[in-house]
Amino acid sequence: MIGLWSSTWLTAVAQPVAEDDYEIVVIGQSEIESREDATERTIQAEEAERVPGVQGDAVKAVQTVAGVARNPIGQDGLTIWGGSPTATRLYIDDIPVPRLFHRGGLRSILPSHAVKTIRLVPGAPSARYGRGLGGVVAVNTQGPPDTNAGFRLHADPIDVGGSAHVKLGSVTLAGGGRVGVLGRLADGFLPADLQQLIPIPDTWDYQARLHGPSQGGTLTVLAFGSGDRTERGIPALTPDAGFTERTDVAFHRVGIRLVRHPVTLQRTSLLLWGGLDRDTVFLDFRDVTAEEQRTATSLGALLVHERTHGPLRLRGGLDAELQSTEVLRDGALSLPAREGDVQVFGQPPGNRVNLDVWSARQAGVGGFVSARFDFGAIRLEPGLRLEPSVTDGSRILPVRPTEPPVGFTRLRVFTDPRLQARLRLSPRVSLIAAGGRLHQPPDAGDLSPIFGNPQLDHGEAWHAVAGVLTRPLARWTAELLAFRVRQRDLAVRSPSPTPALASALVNAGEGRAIGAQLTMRVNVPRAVASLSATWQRSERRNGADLPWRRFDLDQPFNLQLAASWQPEPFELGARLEVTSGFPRTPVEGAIFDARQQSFDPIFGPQNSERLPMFLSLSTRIAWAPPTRIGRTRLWLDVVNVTNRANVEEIFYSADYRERGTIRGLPIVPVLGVEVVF
Amino acid sequence: MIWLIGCLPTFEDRAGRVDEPRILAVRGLPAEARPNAPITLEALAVSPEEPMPSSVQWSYCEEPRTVDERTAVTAACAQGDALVSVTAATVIPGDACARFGPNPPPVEGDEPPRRPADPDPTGGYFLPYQAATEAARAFGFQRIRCDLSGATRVIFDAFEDRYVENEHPTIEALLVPERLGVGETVTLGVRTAPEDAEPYVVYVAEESALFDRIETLTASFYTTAGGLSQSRVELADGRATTQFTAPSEPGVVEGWVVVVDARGGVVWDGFTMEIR
Repeated sequence: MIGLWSSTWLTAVAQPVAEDDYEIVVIGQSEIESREDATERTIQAEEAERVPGVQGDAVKAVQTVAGVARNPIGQDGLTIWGGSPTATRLYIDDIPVPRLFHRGGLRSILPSHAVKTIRLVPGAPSARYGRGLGGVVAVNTQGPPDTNAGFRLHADPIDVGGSAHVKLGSVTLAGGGRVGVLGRLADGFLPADLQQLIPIPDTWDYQARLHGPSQGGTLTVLAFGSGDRTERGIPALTPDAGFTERTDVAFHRVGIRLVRHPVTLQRTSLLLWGGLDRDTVFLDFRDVTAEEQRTATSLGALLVHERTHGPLRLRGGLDAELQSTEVLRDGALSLPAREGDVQVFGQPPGNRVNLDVWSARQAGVGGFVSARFDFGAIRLEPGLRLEPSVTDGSRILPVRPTEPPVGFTRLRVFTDPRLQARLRLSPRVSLIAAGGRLHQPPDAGDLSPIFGNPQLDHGEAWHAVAGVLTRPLARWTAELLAFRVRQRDLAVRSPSPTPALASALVNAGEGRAIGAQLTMRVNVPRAVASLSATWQRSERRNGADLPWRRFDLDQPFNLQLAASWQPEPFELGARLEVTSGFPRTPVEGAIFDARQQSFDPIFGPQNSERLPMFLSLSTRIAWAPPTRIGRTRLWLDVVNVTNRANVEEIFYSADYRERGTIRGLPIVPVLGVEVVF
Repeated sequence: MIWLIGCLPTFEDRAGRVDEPRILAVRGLPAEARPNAPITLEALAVSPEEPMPSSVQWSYCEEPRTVDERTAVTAACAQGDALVSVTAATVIPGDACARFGPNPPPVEGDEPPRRPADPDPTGGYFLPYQAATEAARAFGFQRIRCDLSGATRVIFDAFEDRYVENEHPTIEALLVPERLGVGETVTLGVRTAPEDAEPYVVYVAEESALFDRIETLTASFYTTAGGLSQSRVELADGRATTQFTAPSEPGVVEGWVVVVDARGGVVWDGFTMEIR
């Protein structure tokens, strides 16, 4: 049985299939040898979807991997090694995407059957990757099925969907889609006020693929997209104190990939892609509103050439991306909230408002090269990423009707060294090390001369990681990594009450994270047990002369214990998740605002207290009954089996004299069915 | 079947309860004035027990908020720092439009130009004043009349022609029973003058245009005992009502109504109900 993670060491194992009869199973090639990035984890989708608590969603399993923090309820980013979710680069088949999960994080944007592998690089990525200060999550979709035609139907309380494929000669066409149903179900069973509190989006997603041979290689055309519409808010404790948030987000991607193997030990691939993103967010706090509309069109190309000469493997290429963004933002200055903002849940955004419309075009052409030297026990792979980056904006100063608008163009060139190394001490023990510098361009939404700063520069990060991989026993692997990340020039709010014109944001932010993660796996026939434990500390400061404080998503401790057993036709599994609570800023008093006729909080030290520890036990039972035609699978996934009342948020009374807690999801059973023909 | 049942804490709505000394309203006379203009500050200081607070100490907050601060005043002022003492009869600081208004803040030497304050949804700018008694304090906000900044001459002149300075609303009538029984539920109401919903003009720089708006008014009810169905109510057609449930023991209930218009004008009145 192939374990949850990518194949283990080069080993042939004999396992019984019948009395006096054995089959030889080659588990796979060396994991460490096959890694492109020293810190990577590759998850096979068919195992990932069986992780208890992910409701059969393969991509969600990445949240159970060491180094990845648990998300706050209702959020859909990925916090890796203490980095901001916006610092994590997300890819589907090498095409950058803005998110991997639908709003609220209940489901990923790809059905499990469309996923082949999920590859996580928590830090120190190779030179191939750029434009992000944090880790990388790369999802690879399934190739063409073996059969000539088929279809699949899926239903569970979160969404329903179907897919089909047909082979026409040497060309395979495949496509599918899903729509969310949870919102419609919730209308009939959930009180209206609770539907407001927990974001239950109306979702859709689709995938289409064409695959065929092409002049000594393969040609793949793929298209996919995802959309969410959400409305949430706080049921008003008094009729004037509620707020409403409406979001409507969608993105589409289309790509063409050509892979050629002209000769042995050479490989060239070319990917051309395009995308369209449309996001609308509207928040209504009764007296003040905030709205953002964003439309982005993007084009990209990825050319990778690889050539091997004995112990030397050269890899190089170009990673180009152009994005044109139009943004309108109207309303409260403090929305959307940023990391580091001092606030309490449900707090009105303040009464200062403004309006700005701007556009930005950002282009980067990252040339990368790496040379892998394999000298027996030693592997060294230095790399370099050279990336000229151009930012062109419509406006460098706030609009002045008495003056013509003045745009700007800025060119920066970054040289980012990378290094990956491995030392094999013995057949069972290897040491790894990796590091390098990374840069990330500013978000187009931060380039407003009113709400941000058109002159924002790229952020910078240094990663360093070292670790040991070991295989104490034939079926037991363990990996221990220690990491250090340092960030600078992060875009943060200006601490000044009178910042320079067009400088509401400044490149003064710094971040640092240090930690260690342990991953262990025991893999026996039809069963696997795993442990992922991460200890880390992540801090930020909004200026070199300001004190360090906890990162808003700092999660010092994260433990995942999982076990699964497959006595066919059943699957049984359980997963225990224990994580630290998120930091919160306490309220130490209140002051009455006589104009608004309401109280404002007086805060204590920022992020100086924490929510209680989070603990959840999930279980999964699946049954694949034998059928004459096709394949059917039923599964029951139960999150929080013990019905523990985990605290997700602190909530205050209108006068801040009392506080309570908002508890998250109780026991949540999800029953799903899948039929494949 | 999937069950999504979070748990939202419920709190007793005490926003309308006066169970300790409080300052419920603050205003300056006139409701809107230019820098260096004299104003007179007033406050509604109340207490559930006699004697009512007699003297109010005044100060203004000299430090504007940072961009990310959601509170009405910057943290330093909320904590009692960065305050300049004044008397009730005072003058709006001469640099109010540069410190809290649309005029660029002063710079020194070769410093780059600084960002002026951002307006509220009514296009207004405000100077925060703190009113404090021995046992309570609150911030009120004096609307500052500043010249339009960054507009064309045509827009500037049109703004000056059309702009109507804010005035405090007036309470025409309080609809409050003098007597009611223990536990009885009655309707409390307030009526303002029809002209209190003043028209005003707002400048939107992005569109280089002026837009006409009409003020909205909000009434807040406060009582020393009993319960209110809704302490804060938006006025419709010059009226606002709420339901009051008398306490379970006879006695006297003091109450107040504070009416605030969208541009910061304030008026208040008090009432007494005998519970039998």
